[in-house]
Amino acid sequence: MSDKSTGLVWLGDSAVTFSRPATVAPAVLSVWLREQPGVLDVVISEHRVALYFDPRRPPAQLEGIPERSAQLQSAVAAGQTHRIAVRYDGPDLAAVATATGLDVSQVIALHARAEYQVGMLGFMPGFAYLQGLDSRLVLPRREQPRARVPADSVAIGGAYSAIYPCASPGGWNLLGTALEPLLLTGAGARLQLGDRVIFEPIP
Amino acid sequence: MTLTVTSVFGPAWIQDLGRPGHMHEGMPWGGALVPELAMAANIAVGNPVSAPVIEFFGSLGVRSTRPLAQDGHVVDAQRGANLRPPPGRRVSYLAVAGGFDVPLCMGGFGTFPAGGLGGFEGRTLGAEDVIPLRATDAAPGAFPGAARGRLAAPDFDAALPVYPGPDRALFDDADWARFLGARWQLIEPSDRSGTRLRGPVLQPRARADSASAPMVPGAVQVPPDGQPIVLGPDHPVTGGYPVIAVVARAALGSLQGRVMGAAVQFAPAEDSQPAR
Repeated sequence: MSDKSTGLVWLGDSAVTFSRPATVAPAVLSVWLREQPGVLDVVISEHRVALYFDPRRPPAQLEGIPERSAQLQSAVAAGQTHRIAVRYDGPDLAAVATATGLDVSQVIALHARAEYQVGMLGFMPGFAYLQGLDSRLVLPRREQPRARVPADSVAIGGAYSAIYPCASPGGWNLLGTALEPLLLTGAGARLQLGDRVIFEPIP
Repeated sequence: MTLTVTSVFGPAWIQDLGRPGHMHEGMPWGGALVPELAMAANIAVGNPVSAPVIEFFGSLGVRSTRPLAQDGHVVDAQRGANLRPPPGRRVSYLAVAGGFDVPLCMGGFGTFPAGGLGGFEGRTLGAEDVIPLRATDAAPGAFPGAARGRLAAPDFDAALPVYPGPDRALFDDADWARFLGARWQLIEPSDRSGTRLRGPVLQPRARADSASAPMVPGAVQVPPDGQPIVLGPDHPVTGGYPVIAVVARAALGSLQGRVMGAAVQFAPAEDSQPAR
């Protein structure tokens, strides 16, 4: 169900989605949207934004939110930098090397050299899609997803890298293991939208 | 003061009415599958409706000197009680006067087993677990979980009101008619992340934008096998399958309390413009 004049698409009676404004940093967008009265929650994906609310008390002036959010200034987003130690012991290192035509040490060097930024959170709590993967490491997901990827696995999938906060099924290629991770605690997710991540290889 | 779990068959864990406010971190709202029954159990023992309760699926043996209630009914468990959901229902709720004394985690008391978070030690309950209880003279409002929903017990046979989903246009009108007309069957492996249905095969066209998009409880996703999944309280916050429809929020308890094999039918929601 969509409304052409506002760009709002209804997700039932307790959420709406609209196109993610390209010019606004996601961290800025997320904070501003969560401050709007009546908005209980926000999810920002690659191309869409969703607002969640109580069906009995939807936000006032909901129709104006897409346009107002597109006019936000982006300068504020500082974000934290996280240095995360990684042991490169993943079961897919050799397969990634073969598929990319690199050797294993080059795969590790390319993955560890990049500086990543949290582009979106989703899939599971605390799962941060890290942008900035070297284009030589961009590969499709595994044909057969694993039934269980261990928690703290450092992985690559498509144009992203990520660390699995919890054990789960997963189709990404596993390169290593994050040490001292604590990605998800009772206080929330450690990696937030707009944060930067630097992997530090541990031999 | 404590409650002792003496036996358990099937999953059993602490839940409440959910933890809004953390979806931007990938954390779904969670909350009881049938919030109306969790609230009814709390009311029967004099608790705030949002106090944590035990959600259980198989059988649950407990012992406590405190007043207990299963769904809306008081239970005497001083010498122990063995409880199971009533016939025709998949899940049931046990409340104890004063409520379970478990830590607040990301704004809620409920268990998120996949992440080992919340509830009692972040896990399903087992025999011999001893769960601490709050004092019964706790002030109202001692449980800051979000109260929501209404109290009338759900009608577990009712047709579920649905709104057209964001990907309705990917389904032709014959598929939409099949979706609304079918008598679906609730099947395994339904769980807190989604309720699976079996019936006619739906065949959406491919989405132009295949990237994952934000999801909501009640979204009816159609994966490649054409058999719908209605997302539940622990759904992934984003997903990539076409969403043909979204079940009205107030009707989710009715769906999620039904037993395996139960019939499920949908009907267009009467207010075609939601929340207006």
